[in-house]
Amino acid sequence: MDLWLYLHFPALQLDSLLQEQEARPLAVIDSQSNALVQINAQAAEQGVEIGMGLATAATLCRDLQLVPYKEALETGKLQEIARWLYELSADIALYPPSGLLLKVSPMLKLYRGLMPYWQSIQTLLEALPYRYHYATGYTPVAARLLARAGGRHISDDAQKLKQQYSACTIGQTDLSAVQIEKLNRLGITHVADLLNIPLKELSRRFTLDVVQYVGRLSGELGMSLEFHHPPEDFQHYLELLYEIENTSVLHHPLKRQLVLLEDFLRRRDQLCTRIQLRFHQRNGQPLEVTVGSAQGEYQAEKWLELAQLTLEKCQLAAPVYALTLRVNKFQHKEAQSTDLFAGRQGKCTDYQLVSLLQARLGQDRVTGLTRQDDFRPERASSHCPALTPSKNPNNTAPLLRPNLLLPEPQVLTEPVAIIHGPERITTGWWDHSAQVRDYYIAHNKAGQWYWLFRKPAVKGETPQWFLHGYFS
Amino acid sequence: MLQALTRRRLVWRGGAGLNQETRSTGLPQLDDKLGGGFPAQGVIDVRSPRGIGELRLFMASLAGTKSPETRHRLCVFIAPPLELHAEGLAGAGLDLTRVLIVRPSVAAEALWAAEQSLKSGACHAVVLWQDSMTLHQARRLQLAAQEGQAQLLLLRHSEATALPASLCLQLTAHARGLVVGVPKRRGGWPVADFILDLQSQWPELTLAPAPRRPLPLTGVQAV
Repeated sequence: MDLWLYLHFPALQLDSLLQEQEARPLAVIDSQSNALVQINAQAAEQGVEIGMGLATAATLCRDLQLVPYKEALETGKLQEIARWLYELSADIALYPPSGLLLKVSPMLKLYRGLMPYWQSIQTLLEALPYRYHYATGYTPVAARLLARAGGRHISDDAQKLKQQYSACTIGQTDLSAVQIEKLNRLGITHVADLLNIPLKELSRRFTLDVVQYVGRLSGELGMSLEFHHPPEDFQHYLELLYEIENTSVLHHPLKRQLVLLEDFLRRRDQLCTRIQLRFHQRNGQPLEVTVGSAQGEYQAEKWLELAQLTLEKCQLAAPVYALTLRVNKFQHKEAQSTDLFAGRQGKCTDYQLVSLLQARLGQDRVTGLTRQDDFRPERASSHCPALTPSKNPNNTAPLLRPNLLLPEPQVLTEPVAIIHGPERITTGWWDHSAQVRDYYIAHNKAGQWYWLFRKPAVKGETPQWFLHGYFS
Repeated sequence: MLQALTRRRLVWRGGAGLNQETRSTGLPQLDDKLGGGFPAQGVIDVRSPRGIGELRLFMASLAGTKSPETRHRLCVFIAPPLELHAEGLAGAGLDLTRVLIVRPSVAAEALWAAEQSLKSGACHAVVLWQDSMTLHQARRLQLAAQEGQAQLLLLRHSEATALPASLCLQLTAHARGLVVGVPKRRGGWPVADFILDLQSQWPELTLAPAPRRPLPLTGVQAV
């Protein structure tokens, strides 16, 4: 029989809230039953208990802060924990909203025993902010029963485990309230009483659910499980305890998420070049912000710097109550070679500098420059994405060209002396912007060096002179 | 006694005392006048009219092909007044893959970009076109340039006051090249204005002393 480990997280939603330094009583309330489902230590100190009604709790503790229970949020957190645990254990089944089942037996050979296995799992769980109960069992149902009863049992002694779960009350099982009531009336109060009845007898007196449950508990009936497969991309949703109206205050929660991303990337030895942030605003559309980096990064510090520069430009329309960080494209980490002997070790690489400038100024304002295969001066030079390796144009003959070019040629309005020329450029007949121009280098009285052109004379027209560039 | 004081840097010696790193200008005459070349780090404040060859003067230094220190680092152009022309820069020896062009929308962003680029250590030179700058801003850029061991070439086309820089140059046009004035030089005496001969460097862009070939000037006049 396989050994299973069940992890139960009793206060997943509460623990996942961003806790302030100054602790105050806090409780999660189920809005349907109007009863408290999760409370923190401060609330418990003041006498608040789980299962209490709202009115009773409010009387006991005046400044109790309430958060509505959200099952979807807990399920999301559970998937996140499963993703972390997947690093350590292969088969993980989810029991939403608050439980995880791990198949232990196949892992024992790798970890050389149950205790080393549990220790590595425990180290990981301690790093997460969630409270948890745990138990092992030879059937998934038995492990779940013990863990949900608040157990902390790690053992592979079948006899001892059976003793322990037999001592659980019927109320702690997964049976429906109606069934529990019925069994209690019959005087069956503990699991042991139930196990003493043979399955055949049970099936005669009770409905199928009870038979199935008992069968699965003892292992006489099998059950199918669907194991968790971690998604390829990173996604993290963080709900804020307070609404934030100013982008500069988002620093702290953002950093928390980026640290998680850093951990995620480091474990996979990967980098990402783009992160997507979604700010959920109270009224209206969420604000989507994409932060890019020309060089793959994993460090939270670097991403935080880039994100803050990008956020400086953003205006929040309404207070933000939550944010999501999403990354769906990854690249493998490659060694970035830095010359040890160059002596000049800058603080950042070329790509990091480009990312930094682009984050604040915008992608299109930081570019590279490249030559094109064209004789028309306007087209011979063009902007390209920063740091792209250039292709070599065919016309590599060294031409004397100005280094500053006017965006649009201007009509020449002053007397100049022509020093060189003409150089005729006749081209572009193939793409409907044919040009015939005679270029000259000229010098004016002030000593400025101009690049001029003139269109060849057409009958009846005096040719006009245009200024096209400076030999600055 | 004197040696002890010198060792403790309590006595400053002119000229030889300040061992400033320099980068060759590519022009022997200028190297000579400036004591080895342009300062390798810090601000070079250049005041000149546009289009007389003020950028060409620095091309060899910006290309930085001579030294392994500069060859693999970037050259950043910030806020050029017109479009930079790839053929012009490549023709002057610049490696276009190491060129970055930044076109900020406001002056404050240009200063920020210059400071970040200088500090980063990723680039060996930054060229910034900005006419007005306060003393405090110039000081900040000077510190950033020292931190990142980079050179800031500040091109100004307006009549402005001198800034605290490693080197101040005042350029005016001349038939054979440029008239260079050095009002201020860190660790050195001001140099008297001199004519920098650029005929060997840019033969087409200087007026030869010999009577030049008369060219028909008809049609070239005010419109």
